[in-house]
Amino acid sequence: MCHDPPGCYSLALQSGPSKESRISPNLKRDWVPTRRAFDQLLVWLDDGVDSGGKGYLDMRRRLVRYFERKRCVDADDLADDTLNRVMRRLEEEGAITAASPAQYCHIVAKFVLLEYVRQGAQAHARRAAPADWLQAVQTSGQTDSSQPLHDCLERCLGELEPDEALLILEYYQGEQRAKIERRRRLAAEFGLSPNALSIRACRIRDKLEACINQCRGRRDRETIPGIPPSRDE
Amino acid sequence: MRDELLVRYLVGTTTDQETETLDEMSIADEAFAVRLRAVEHDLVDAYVNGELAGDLLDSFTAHYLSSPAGLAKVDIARALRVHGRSRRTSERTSHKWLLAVAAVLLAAVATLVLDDVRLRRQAAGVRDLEAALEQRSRELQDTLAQQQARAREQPPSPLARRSRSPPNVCCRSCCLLRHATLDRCRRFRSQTPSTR
Repeated sequence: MCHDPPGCYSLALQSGPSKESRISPNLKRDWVPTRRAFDQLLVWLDDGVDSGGKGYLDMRRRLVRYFERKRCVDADDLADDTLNRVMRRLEEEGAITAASPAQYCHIVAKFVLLEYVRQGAQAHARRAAPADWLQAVQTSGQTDSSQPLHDCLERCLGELEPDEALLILEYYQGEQRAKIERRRRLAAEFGLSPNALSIRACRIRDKLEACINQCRGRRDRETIPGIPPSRDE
Repeated sequence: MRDELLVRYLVGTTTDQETETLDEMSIADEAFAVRLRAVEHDLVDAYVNGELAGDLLDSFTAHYLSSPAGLAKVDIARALRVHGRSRRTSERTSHKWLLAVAAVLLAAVATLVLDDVRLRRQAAGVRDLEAALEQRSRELQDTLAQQQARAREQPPSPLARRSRSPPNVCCRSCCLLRHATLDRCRRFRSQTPSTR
């Protein structure tokens, strides 16, 4: 079993009491995630099958996307807050048997979201969202954000394996019928079923998007002072 | 589960119960989460390609584009589209160049092949001519030898004895030997009758 997937424990520690007190003031302010609690969470999320930390990372990613779909700006923070609450509950109770790990995480995420919305954080954060802010700067003519984006895309495509880059560029090109036909041909070329190809393309695009978002974040901070670093970097 | 339901979920037009179910599945089920992402990528691409219309477009604009993550995804999809177009354009341009170079090479090779064939034909003609001339030369030498032998067997005529000139047949053979063909020899002889 992996006891410390890259960055997981540090992420959990980063989003400790200060984050919780900001988002959910009712939680115990003095509770700090411990190594033991984190290990306990990893085991519990794996549900008896050692995933080497992958279970934690997958759950965190799904939680981030859940909060993104709910249009939260602090999706990363909220996902960490959710996992910290689960961790604390596990440490307190020793075990959670009322629901499966995934179901329990969903229940906690719902509460975290409700608190977030109740506090009006969404509206507040949206006003300060880097994308909106960048858009405002862009319209004022101070910077052109499209070129850095294209530079980041080139760079991130270059970081992919050659067959991954080829697949992602081919898979998402074309429109409607042409796209369907192209995907059928690609599946045959790669020797995959259409479903397996779509999963592979989806994962590569997720990787590409994560890379581009990191790259853009770095560039934005270089050109526009005052933007805080993102949690992924 | 149909993609259409997932699209409605992504643009915020599902019922509360549907939303609750899909929320839970998106967190609890990795396979479902991946499929949802795949549908999301295609939805964003469709928007960027201008394929969305009507209520779906309205919902997408109102719901999906109101989140920073949604905006970022649309930006990336646009960049991918531009990149794909420029890639296709450069591929087409390079294909044209390749075709042009291939056409020039083909023309050059065709010219060389034709030249080669022409030269081979000329060389064959020359070889045939040479062989014919050699054959002719051998025939004439044989004829000359026979005539010389015959001439030695016959007694010389008084006229020949007086003039001490070689016999006419010899002169004719010499002429044939020197001028290779009978026509040229005749021409030569008609121009210089006094020597015979």
